[in-house]
Amino acid sequence: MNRYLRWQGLASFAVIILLIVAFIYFFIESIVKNGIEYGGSYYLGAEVNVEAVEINYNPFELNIHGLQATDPEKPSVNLVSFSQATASIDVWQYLFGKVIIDQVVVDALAFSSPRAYPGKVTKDITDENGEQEESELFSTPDISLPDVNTLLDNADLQTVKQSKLLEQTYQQEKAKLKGLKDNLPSKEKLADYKTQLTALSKVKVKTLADVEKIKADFDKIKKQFKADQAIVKQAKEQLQQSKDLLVEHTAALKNAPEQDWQAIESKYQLDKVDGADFAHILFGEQARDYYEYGQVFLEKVKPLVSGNNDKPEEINMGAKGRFVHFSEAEPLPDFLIKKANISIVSPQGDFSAVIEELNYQHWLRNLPTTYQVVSTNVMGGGDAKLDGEFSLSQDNDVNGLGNWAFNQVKLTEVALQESSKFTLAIEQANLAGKGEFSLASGNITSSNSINLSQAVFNGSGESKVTNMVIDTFKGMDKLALGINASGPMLSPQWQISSPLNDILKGAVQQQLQQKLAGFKSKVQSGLSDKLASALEINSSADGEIVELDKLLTDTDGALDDLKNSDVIKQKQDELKNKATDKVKDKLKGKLGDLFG
Amino acid sequence: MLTLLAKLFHALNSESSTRQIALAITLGFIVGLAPLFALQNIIILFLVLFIRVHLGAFILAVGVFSGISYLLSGIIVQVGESLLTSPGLNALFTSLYQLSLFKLGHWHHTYTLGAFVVGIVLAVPIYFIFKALIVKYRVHVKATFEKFRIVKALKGSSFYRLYLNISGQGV
Repeated sequence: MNRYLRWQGLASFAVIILLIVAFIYFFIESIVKNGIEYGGSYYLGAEVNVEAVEINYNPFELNIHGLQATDPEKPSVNLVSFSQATASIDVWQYLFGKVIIDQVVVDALAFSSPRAYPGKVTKDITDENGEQEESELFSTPDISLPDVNTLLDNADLQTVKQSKLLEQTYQQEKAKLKGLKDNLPSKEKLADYKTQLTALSKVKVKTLADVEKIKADFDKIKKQFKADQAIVKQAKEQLQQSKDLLVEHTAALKNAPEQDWQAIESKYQLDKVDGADFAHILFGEQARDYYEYGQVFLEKVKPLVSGNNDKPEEINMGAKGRFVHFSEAEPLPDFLIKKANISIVSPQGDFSAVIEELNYQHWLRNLPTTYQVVSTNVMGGGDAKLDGEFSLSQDNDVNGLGNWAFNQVKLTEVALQESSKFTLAIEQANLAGKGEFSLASGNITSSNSINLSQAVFNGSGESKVTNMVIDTFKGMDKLALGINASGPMLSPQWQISSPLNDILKGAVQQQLQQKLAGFKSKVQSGLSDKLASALEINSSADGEIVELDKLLTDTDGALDDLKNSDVIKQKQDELKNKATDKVKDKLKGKLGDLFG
Repeated sequence: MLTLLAKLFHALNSESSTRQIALAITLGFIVGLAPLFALQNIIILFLVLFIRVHLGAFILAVGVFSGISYLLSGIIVQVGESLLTSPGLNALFTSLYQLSLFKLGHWHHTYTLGAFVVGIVLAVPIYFIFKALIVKYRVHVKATFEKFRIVKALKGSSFYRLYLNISGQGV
């Protein structure tokens, strides 16, 4: 037995396992600390710092002290930070491949807190800023209306894009057609075929073998005709394709100015200006901004929570694989925080949040994620609360409902409009509001009401219209707004109602509509100019297509004539006639002898 | 690393059993394919230490096959993926999934299961191929190599002195 077994190996095994356990015991805290710092920096693209990590084993608890994650766009502030976070993790489930956290407590969670020193940024954010600048072109609703030239210079206009596309397509198709045109049989080649045929027709035939030889020569030439005709056929098909493509792009170009106008109208809310929906113009963007904060937050959090683990990854070198979970008596999600208590510190006030059943596989435990956020010192003394729940279905549908309310929130210096030609701000006011929302199958329905009291407004404007609006606001000390949203979660329709509309109607509306009519006419004329210059390409393309079409038809006709030449029949007839004449002569001779 | 290589060459050139070396390489292959801390690796480590196989060859094989496993990871994951998502095997895996040991071994992970299955399936041919290669090395290659100038030059190197020390032939 000893020949095969090494009893001292048992001791070695025990020593190795003990060493591994000891290594984990003594170094796990710094491994986790470095893991959070490196992993966080990699994900975020900016420096992440952790003061210390502490691990308790009974029960298993992870304590993270002093986390600061640099904002990659503003390295002097933290995107997120907290003083301490404690998580009780189910180790057994972790070893099974699931992250089940019984309780998380986060203290002093803060967003945009200043850093002691600027964090290192590793991600290149130039492109993102570029995109942002571009989108800002279309972001500010403004009673003073955007600059027509800026609008027409925008490369995102469909008219510009479709013009470029048409030109590009024209150049590509032109190159293809030129290639085919060069391959077409030339006039000289066709003349040469004709000469060859004429030569064949002049050959004297005396025997059947002569006809056979002519036939063989003709077949040889005919083969060339066929090859050339195939080229012509291919060219015809290509020409048809090019024609169709150009027609398609021209039609798209012709529709582009209308699409551009609709986009401008929608982005600048000109329809609202037209309908004198002042409440929407002045407060709609704020409502959308707050809604977008929520969307951005969800987009950031979603991949962290879901882990993208439920679909097979692409199979390639370096593939890491995934867990495949099967049904069990008491199924658990891949990731679950049973309860989280979070205290949030923000410039707007201190909030405390309680979240339960945070996961992305709600169907497994049939429990929704619930959340309650409460504050008693919003803006220095206001109350705020938000309650709600949501759940995801297996089809990825989000369902949920919630309500919010706040009272006695003191607003100071809140900008409503900030453009070079028109500014409007709430200097001070008391704000109260409440609302509710529900999500079902990816659609949102929300109704909200906001009341401003003891309000003082100020602002400045360049035009008569904007000054009238500012004066109206200055004369008000109360303002009520009803904000409703409905439709798809990612792009809901907003309705904002207010007595403000009635107050501002009349003179302001009339002036605005006149201004709008002038603006519309300028933009549409600019778009028409762009369309006209782009359509010039189309007319030159048309000329070239007609010319090539004629050339192809002529060449094809000439080749058909040559192919259908009856030179063989002529020669056969010639031989037949000769034979008949010969017989006739012979017969005549014999009959002469007989009667002669 | 040099010590390990020297130990391996000593084993190849010595009278150590070809089976011990080939088995060590095979077990190193199974461990090398799988994630380092997989349960199957701990069991194999226990086997390697408990039964008489060549430890140097095992450690080198783990190193070499860990590198190769990166190249093969696509195939390994594909094998695991197709087994774990096969409708015909669903009932089997569902019943295995109820066992804590199965989940502890991460055999419901596509990479771990794929590495385990590929490792076990290829273990037998790998064992016999390496056994045959070691025999061939001892009979043919060793003698031929001795004649090469480079080998003669290597014999003057520090690596060779290390080799002699390990094999007990050093001064």
